[in-house]
Amino acid sequence: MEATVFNCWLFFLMFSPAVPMCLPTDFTLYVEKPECEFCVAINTTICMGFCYSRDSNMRDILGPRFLVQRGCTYDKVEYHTAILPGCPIEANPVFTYPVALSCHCSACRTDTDECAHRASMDGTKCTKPVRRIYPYPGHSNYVIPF
Amino acid sequence: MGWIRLEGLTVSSVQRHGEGDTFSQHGNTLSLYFCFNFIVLYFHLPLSLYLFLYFQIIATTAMGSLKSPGLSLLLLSFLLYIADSYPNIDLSNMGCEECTLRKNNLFSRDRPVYQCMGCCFSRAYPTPLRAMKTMNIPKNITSEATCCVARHSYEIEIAGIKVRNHTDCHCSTCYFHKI
Repeated sequence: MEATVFNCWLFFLMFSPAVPMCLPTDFTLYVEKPECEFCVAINTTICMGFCYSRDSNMRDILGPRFLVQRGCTYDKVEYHTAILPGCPIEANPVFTYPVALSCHCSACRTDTDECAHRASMDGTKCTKPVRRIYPYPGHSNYVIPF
Repeated sequence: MGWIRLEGLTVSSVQRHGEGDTFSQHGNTLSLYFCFNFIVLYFHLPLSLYLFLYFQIIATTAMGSLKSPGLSLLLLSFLLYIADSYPNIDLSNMGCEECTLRKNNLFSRDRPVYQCMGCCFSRAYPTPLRAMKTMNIPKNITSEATCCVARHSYEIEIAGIKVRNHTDCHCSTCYFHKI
């Protein structure tokens, strides 16, 4: 009996697809304000992976009716706050960023998200010295700088 | 045949259930139920096979040989099989096959008609500050998505209906994924 169960699972594992799915993934966010002295690196979680989509044989006639187009996006999100070091008070050192708690394959919501094919990543480059900040132990929603 | 032997093993393991069963016997049976269910879902074994096994278990239950948790598990597996039959099910949590040509059985009557389908990469992340300043309406989250679409196709006529037969696929711009 045990051998049958083992063989069954082994057969399943051998033939199951191994493409990474839409999952929360660790990500480093770089925040640089002109008024501040440093470029701040913040560890957060984003959604990244593969989602199923399907083109239609009748798109010319029926349009997008039988199209399946989805992207990996945030399902449950939590907003954390960080205080950027080296920023004057008048420059508003408080920075709020999203943290993905869970992800799913879904349509892009234009009211909350910027829907792009491939966005420019120039905004993630730092021109000032990089400083890292870490979550304060026991306070997941409040980040204290070093 | 392998499936007959598997079915026979499953039913016989169920009939052995009773007082004094060990945890390992229950665990093995549960594992076998899950394993069988995944194999059926992935390889799309005929529904008739599943129904045959299901009613065998029902008959065994009527004789009082099967405990209710096992029957609930089998019912759940059956419902999962039905859910898998719907073509629009989200495969993101069940394994993701690459974007490629697959035969469209609905239109493939006189000759094969192919359709592009599969999984493509996408991600969503916090909008960089520099990019947010250029937006008319600032958005906190930026979503980059690619979708499986036909790279090349040609028009054919099937039963008086003009359809496009896809010949090559790739992950490219999604034009209809916004709401």
